[in-house]
Amino acid sequence: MTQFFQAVISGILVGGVLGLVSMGLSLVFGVVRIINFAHGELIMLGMYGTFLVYTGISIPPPFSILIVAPLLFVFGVLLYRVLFEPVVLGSTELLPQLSLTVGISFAIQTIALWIFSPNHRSVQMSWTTTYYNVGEVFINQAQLIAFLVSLVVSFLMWLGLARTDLGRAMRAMVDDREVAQMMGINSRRIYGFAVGTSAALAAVGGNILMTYYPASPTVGLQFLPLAFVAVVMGGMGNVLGAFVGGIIVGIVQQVTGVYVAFQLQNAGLMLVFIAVLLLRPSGLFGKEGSL
Amino acid sequence: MKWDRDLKAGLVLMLVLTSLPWWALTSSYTLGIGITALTSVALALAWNVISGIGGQLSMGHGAYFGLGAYTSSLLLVRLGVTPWIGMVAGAILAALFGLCLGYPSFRLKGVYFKLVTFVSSLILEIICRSWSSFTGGDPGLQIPLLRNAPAMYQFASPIPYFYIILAMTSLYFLFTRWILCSRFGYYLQALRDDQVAAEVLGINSLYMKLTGFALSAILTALVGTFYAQYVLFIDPASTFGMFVSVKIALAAIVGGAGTLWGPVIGGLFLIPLAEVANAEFAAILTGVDTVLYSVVLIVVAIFLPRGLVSLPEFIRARRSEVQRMKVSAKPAS
Repeated sequence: MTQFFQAVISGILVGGVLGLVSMGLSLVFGVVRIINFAHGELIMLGMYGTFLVYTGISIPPPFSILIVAPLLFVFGVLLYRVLFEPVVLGSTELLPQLSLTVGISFAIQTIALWIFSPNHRSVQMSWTTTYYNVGEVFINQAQLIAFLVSLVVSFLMWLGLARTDLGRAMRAMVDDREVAQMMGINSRRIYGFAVGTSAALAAVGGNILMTYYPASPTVGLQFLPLAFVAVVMGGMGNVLGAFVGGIIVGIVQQVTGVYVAFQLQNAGLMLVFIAVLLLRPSGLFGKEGSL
Repeated sequence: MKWDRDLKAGLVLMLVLTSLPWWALTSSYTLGIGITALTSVALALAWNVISGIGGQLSMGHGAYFGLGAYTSSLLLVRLGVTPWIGMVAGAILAALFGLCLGYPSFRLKGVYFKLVTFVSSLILEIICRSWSSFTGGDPGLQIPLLRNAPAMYQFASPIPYFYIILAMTSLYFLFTRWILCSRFGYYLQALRDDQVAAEVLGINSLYMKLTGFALSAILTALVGTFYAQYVLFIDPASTFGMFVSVKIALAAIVGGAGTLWGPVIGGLFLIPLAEVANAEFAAILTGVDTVLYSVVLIVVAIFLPRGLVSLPEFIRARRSEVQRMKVSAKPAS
């Protein structure tokens, strides 16, 4: 039983960060209608940004969020203005946006490889290897901090979506694009803001991951499929659903890892994913018939 | 099938490609580039059947490529069956896997189908990795070297491989051409353009999509066996991997999905481009080929959303636009 609790708790802790990152992916999908295959690379940029801030001016995570997240926000807005916009405004077709985002992903990876070399980089803090012992369950301090930060940021994100005008405008775009535009919502501004926010969320995720997960130029590829699964489980475009989806992903992964086989933890996850898709195509919390 | 411009141009291209080993691809290195390029054309044509013509975007064609490669190779290594038979077994297995995956997931809309296919190939990769007692696992599977053994799908020089893949590509081209002007092809295109309207007119959408998917899987698996026999070594990442699936789709998309010439142009353009860039710049900076590849992807996505085949159209549109601006710039007399 201890083993089970251990698996579930590690799953929740890891899943929280994943959920945070998936919220960004879901936001961009819902608002801009792009499946962003370069989202993993935004996490990777967040991780390297954290690394640079720590080695350069020795501000440690999670405090360096205040520097890294705004930078990535700006990067996201530019990404939208320069590259996404010509493709998105031209057509709603899937094909061009697929080659666009895959192209961006490859390009960012290679540039990161040139700058940072393929070696793994990490930011070791005193809490990276500290464990709390609750009952017989071990809790890693770095993972706990990461989980708490993602909880707070996700809550702020929810507050922003629910209470601010910008958030309402974004939700309106998700629900019905045409009507929202007719009501006078400036779609260009909202799209840019959505991609920027998504990049900032990825940056926060990368920042807190950095204390217990080493960065490499291809690290994004490890998170991308997991984030996809989380987004679909939560219902595509459902931003809060994606957070819960992330936590489910974490739990399924850890439990499969403990009870079936460590190497099969992602296979178990993918099977659950396909089952969810077939039984509830609009996600666990999605509205019936959306999309 | 009518003897028209497409078929004539295809025949000319095939004859030119047939002559290449005599005057252009004389070293085994350049011949290798030719084989890789033709392989990617064949894969793009196979993908195009369901994803381009049928509009059901698959991001997991690595699954069928890998099933073809692993089925024939495992039959050869474990049971000594010739890959010529293993190739057929792989194709059947791929078709069955495609049907099992397609039957439930074709009810889902575009984006979901894309994600299911993407994930299905990742699952096979993980299984292939962890079931190492049977598949050889992560280190890969070595196919015993026999040198010159045509009965076992092995040849001493790369030239026979070049002609085999050229023949396959030509057949795939003819097949695509046939589909595009057959009743089946019109059904698929109608489903892609407006599923509800097509169903109202009495097209059985599930049946058509499943047929298209199975055909596409079979064509992909056959190339998988070819690849395994040509390289004589396979591992999970180079067959079921995410990049394999993405690159199969991208060759067709960059060329122009859903068209006859798109996959041909995409495959023949992207691979040699990356290879040449790699050869020229590898000494100075690694990864130049990847950056060039991604720049092509981005530029094509922005300026030619319908792929390289729409380039003439794009130029014509630009010209007439310039003309119009000139006319309007003249002062009214």
